[in-house]
Order: sequence, then C-alpha cells, then structure tokens
Amino acid sequence: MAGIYCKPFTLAMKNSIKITLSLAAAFALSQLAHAESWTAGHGDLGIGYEDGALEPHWHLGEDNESVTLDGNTAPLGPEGQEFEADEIIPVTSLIQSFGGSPYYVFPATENATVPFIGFGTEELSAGDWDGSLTLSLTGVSGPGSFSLFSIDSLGALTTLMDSSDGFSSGDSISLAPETHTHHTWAFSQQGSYSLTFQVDGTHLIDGAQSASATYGFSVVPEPSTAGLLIGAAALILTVVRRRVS
Amino acid sequence: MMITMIKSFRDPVIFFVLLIVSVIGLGAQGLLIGHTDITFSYSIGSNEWSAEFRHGEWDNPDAQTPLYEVSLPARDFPIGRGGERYEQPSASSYDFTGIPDGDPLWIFAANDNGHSWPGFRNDQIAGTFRSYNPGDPRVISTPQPWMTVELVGMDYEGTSSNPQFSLWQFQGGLVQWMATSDGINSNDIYYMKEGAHSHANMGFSSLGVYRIAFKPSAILDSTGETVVGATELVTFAIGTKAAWTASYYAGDDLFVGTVSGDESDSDKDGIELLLEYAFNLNPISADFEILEEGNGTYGLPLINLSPSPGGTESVLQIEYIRRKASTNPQISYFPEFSSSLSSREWDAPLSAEVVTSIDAEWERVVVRDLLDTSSSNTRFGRVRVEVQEIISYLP
Repeated sequence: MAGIYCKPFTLAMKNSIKITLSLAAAFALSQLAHAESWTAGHGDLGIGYEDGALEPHWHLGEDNESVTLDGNTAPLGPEGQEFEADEIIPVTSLIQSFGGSPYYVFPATENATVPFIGFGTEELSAGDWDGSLTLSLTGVSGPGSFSLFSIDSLGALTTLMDSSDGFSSGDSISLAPETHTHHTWAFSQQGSYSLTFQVDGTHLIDGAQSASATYGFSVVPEPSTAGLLIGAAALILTVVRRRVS
Repeated sequence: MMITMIKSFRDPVIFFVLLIVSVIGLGAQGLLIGHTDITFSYSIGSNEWSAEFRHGEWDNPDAQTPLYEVSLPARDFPIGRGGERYEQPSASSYDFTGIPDGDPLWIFAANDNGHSWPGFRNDQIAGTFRSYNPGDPRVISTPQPWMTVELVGMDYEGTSSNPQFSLWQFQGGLVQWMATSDGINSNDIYYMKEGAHSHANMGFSSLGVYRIAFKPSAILDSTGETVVGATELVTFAIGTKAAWTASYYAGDDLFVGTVSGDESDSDKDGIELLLEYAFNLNPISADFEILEEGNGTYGLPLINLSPSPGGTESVLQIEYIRRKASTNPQISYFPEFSSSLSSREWDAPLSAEVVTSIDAEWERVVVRDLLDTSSSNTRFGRVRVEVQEIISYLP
C-alpha cells in the first residue's frame, strides 16, 4: 500500500500549482455556499440519536475550546456547536509520514496548524444501545485515496480504513456509546474529497438503526495558498451573488 | 517487608483489641477515571494561573476537581487484557523512558482506551496570549499563541529504585516532550495552543505513586509580559496497590509514611495499612473485623480449631481472603503455623489450600495445620503478608 501512495504523491508535487488551484477553487465554489472552512481547533465527527434516527454530524469546540472557522478563531461555548455534515470543510496542508510514505493528515494528536478531528459518541447513552456502533467508510471521491490510521503509544501503525482497495467490512471502526477517540485521517494527494460514512447500531428499544452522511475535506498545498484559494473563491462567489441579485 | 497476623488456639477467646474511632485529618480523595484534562487557566483580573482537573463529558461539561484531591490510576494489566502495561521496546529511540529493554512500562495512552485518559487543556479566552515562535524544533515556526507546561519535579512512593516519568507524542515521528531519565531541565516542556486541548503518552517506569510537578507559562498579548504560574502537582497511581492506596489518600498524605505507608495505621484500629489492603479493610475507618466464617468478604484471618480428618482430635485452621494473583496485587500471602511465638520457625501447611472464588478480585482460602491436638497442645497460626519486591508477570 505504501508504494501505491508514494507515486501519486510525488506526481502531485510535480504538477503545476495551476491544476491544484483549479481543483481547489472548483471545490470551494461548490461548497462555500453552504460550508465553513475549519482550519484549527478540536471537533468530532459526532453521532447523535434524535427522533428515532441516528444522526451523523460535526460537533466542534466542546468545553469552550477555540475553533477557527472561515478564519475567525473563537470558543463555541461549553457544549460546543453542532453542524450538519455538509456545513463544515476541514482543511489541512500538514504532511506526515506513515509506513514510510507521506500523507496529508489531520493527526491523532493535536497540531496547532490543522483541525484536531475525532469521533464522538458522547451524545448517545450507553444504556440505550446493544454494545458498540459501527462506523464504516462506504465511499470516497477525490483525487487520491483516504486512509484512517491508528498509532499506538509505542508507534505501532494499524490501518483502520483504506479506500485504495475498495470498500469492505474491514473499512470500519467500532465506537462505544458515550466515548470519544482520535485517529489520523490521511489523504494521499492534494485536492477536495468527499467521504461517505455509514453508522450502524442496535437501539435497545427502536431496534437496528443505520444512517449515512457525506463529509467534505480539503487538502491544500500550504496555509497561505489555502487562504488565497478560499479567499479567491469567496470573492468570486460574492461577485456571482451580486450579479444574480 | 513482612507483616504478620498471629493468633493462637491456646486462648482463642482472648483475642481482642481496643477499637478507637479515629478522627484523622484526611481530606477528599479518590481516583479519576475516564477523560480527564489537567487544565490550566490564566486570569487577567487576578494575574494568576489556576489549575484543576476537568473531567466533564457531555452531560456535565463543567465538572472539575482540585488537583490535590484525586489521583489518576493505571491498571497493572497488559494492554491486550485491558490494562496500561506495555513492554519497553528495544529501539533506541525509546531510551528516553529510562527503562531497560523488555521491562514493563505503564502508559496513559494519548488515545482513549476506555479507562484513564488524561490530557492537557488551556481554558483561555482567545487573544489572551501572544503569538510567538519559541524556536523549538518540536513545534512549528509559524508564531502561535502558545502556553507551555514545564516539568519541574517528580516525587515517588514505591519499591522501585528507578522511577521515571516521560511524555511523548507521534506527529509523523516520535516527539519527546519530557523525560526524567536524563534529569529535569528546561527542555522538559510541552507546548499547547491557547484555548486548546491535547493528549500525549505519559509513561511510568514502575509500580507506585508518582507526583509530577508542572509549571504553566505564557506571554500576555496585552503587555508582552511572560507570566509563570505556581508549581502544580498531579498524582498518578500505577498498579493495583498504588491505586488502592490513592483511593483512600491524596496529596501530601500519599508521600508521608506515617499516614499511608505500609506500616502506618492512620485510622488507629491496630491494623497496619498493608494488612488493611491484604484483607479488604478500610484504612481510614476503624474497622477491626475478623473474617466471617464461610462467607465473609473482608476481615482479618479467622483462625480456629476444627475437627481433624480422623474426627477424634482438633487441628488449627486458618481461613482468610486474599487478592487474586490475576489482579497483580504486588503482595504475597503465606499462611504458617508454629508451636511457639518465640520460635523463628514457622511451618507452611502441608495440606492443600482450599480456594473458593469470591469475585474478580478476591478469593477465600482455607488451610489446616499439620499437627493436631494429639501431638501438640500449643500451636499458633498466622498469615504473613509480604510486598513483592520483584514481580514476575505470567505470560
């Protein structure tokens, strides 16, 4: 797997910035009308249960933690703030090496320059569910592949999800209710990605439950360029809106 | 160390103790389990740092506890069996832990393992701290509003001659933040962004109680002044015995031998702390109890006469509860018999132990003397409890 990732990454680095700009700009145009770019602070892919249905969403900034959205850094209150899956776009330019190959990552340990993304089921009550829930990767679109890595305390690497070889039951993680965990989100190339996750669990009263949601992610060359891209896209969007109005 | 509990069958009735209801100056104490953040905050109003444990989750996000009131426990089980015990890798990159290759290493992991998950947090209004580049290769050069947590000391209470603490992360590679193995200096520092929260691996070399001293610092954005807080102490209890002790004592009390040492008796009930631990008693409540025959779950060993196998004589019998070896209690039990208290020779029972499981932690043991009343008219029984200096873990 490491060999597969290495080549496209190298190619991507050699490609002109023009291609990257057009990719990112196109992505930004399609998403910015709805989504805020998330560039720093802590948040989770949260799993809630409302009105008899599982609800995957984003849950950002719990415990007054500061979060940077569209360039504005501020705490979001003691309980943080919830967003729909398509309302937030995490952005990274951070490169780290795993298994000898470089990836663009949202790391499992906090890095001040990028979002610190976890998985949270604190909104669920353990007493309502038969064991753990399963979160599965069921679809990825984007210029490269996506992997979810786990690194133990002594550096042992485990691949929890990997889109490069298709999707199977192996591309899933178990999430116990009322817990919170972090893994490393890794993308092989720059560009815009859509990841679709399905969550399954058995509610002790309502029975088997399943829900699916698609989340956008953006991998950009470097923070300054990313800011320019988003700024440019926002400017274009503003112009378009003004023309329409 | 050895502590014995003795009783004679010569005068089984005259075995009493004056119970004293003790009033001792112990404050709140206990163990924090789950997601817990060592939280530092700076108050512009009072110009002071404060620190506490934040351990609230979804239902109670503001739950907090003073650092000195509680300890963070690690279980002495291998990670494959739901514990925090690892094995020191042979790679030289891990030498900073100060542990010989292959020896046990207890880690509070950066990732949640469902037990104790301590991290660091800064509860701060955005814009309080000034962004700067510390020039430390472990963090990015782009200026950030950093606060730092510096390691300034470590206390240890336990049997090890090599207690060490270390802190590290993986950020595409191993990043060492703190290690006592090479001494404590200004390089033992952890960076955290203003208003952020993060987790790192916290490693401990030995079983016992550790008190780690941290000092917070940051640069105020408004004045450029560097504000350094007072030393804050965080206690970690590594292993079954340390966690048990820390569930009853906290803060300074954990490091005062006369209060929480093995031979202490802070509740003044005549039972030393090691025996309270060994026989499921409460060290901070005067509870001198003898084990209830057949179904008791706490108390000092019950030593009495029972019919010998032939039925015509009697034999001394010891019934006691003990911590299961599977819990790695760090102690061993030795039931023994003798014909004289002045004798240094005590006999191990020849009969097989009769062991009955009580629960996941405890089991009941019954053993009998080898001599009955036909051959000896004076016999004594005791259970010797020893702290294991060297622990060999079963595979």
